[in-house]
Amino acid sequence: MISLLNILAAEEPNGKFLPGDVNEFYWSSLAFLVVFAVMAWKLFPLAAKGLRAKADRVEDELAAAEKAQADADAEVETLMAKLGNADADAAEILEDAGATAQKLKVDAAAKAAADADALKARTMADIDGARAHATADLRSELAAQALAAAEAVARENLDDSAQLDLVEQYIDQVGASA
Amino acid sequence: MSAITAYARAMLSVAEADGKLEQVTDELFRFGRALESSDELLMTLSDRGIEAGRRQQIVEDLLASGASATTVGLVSMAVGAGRARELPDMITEMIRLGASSRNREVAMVRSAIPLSDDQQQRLANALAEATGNDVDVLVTVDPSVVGGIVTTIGDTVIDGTVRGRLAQLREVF
Repeated sequence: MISLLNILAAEEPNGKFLPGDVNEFYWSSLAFLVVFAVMAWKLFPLAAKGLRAKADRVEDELAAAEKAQADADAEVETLMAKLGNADADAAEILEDAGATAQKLKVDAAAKAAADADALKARTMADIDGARAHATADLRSELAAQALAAAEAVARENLDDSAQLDLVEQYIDQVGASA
Repeated sequence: MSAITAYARAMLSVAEADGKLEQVTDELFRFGRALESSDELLMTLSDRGIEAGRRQQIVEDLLASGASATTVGLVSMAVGAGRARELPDMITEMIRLGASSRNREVAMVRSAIPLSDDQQQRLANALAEATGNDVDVLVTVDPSVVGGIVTTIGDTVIDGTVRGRLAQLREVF
């Protein structure tokens, strides 16, 4: 059609509806029809097929886009749900942490008190032990000094006569024990 | 049989063979107590760094003036054999074996002062009455007991010393 119009437009105007040469019009129309038929036979199906394929691709892409949108929406919902759970988890964790911290605090206080009591008991025991040890040492030292003094006095006063008396007493006691 | 018992039997046999058992026993007993009370003498006689002959010479110098030749020979033999450290136990065992062979017991007596023969005899009689057995009394003078007597018969100790009484007081404290 465009070619025909071009041909008609290329002609000089002759004051009539058709160009000057009618045959030329016929041949041109025939050629147009042949070309159109060939195009309708070969080209138009291909174009239509291409258009359909393109339409299918577009539809597929639209479907894919819709699916992606749906997936994205689902993902968003999931994330939102998880976010909600995360908030709950965070709150639970914080609550647990608080409880644990409180328990640790109580335990630490109890342990510190127990350690202090044990330390106090050990210290008192050490003090008692040291006091008893010092008392025993003092008593032992006093006894040693008293006995040393007694031995010195005895040596000083045990003259030959006293020594003989001791021997005789011993013999008498052994004999008496029979 | 231990080495101590073997030496004790040998010493007893020699003393009996010489017919001086009582004298040798008494002399050995006194030497044994002296050895026990003197660490320096014990270390010298048991020092293997000193030649055996030199150690035996020391024994002879110590005992020659106051002991029989049998006693000097027995002690010299033990010291020469390097048995000075076991000599007190050997002597005690020898005395025990000798008394046992005569059905008697031995009383080891430590006294602050020397005992007269009469006192020793009365003490032996008293101990015999107390134990029911005849008793040989071996006396050593030990000033460390301060005063009185302590007697050991077997495992029994009869302590009548001032030092013993002071020790009892120490235990009370």
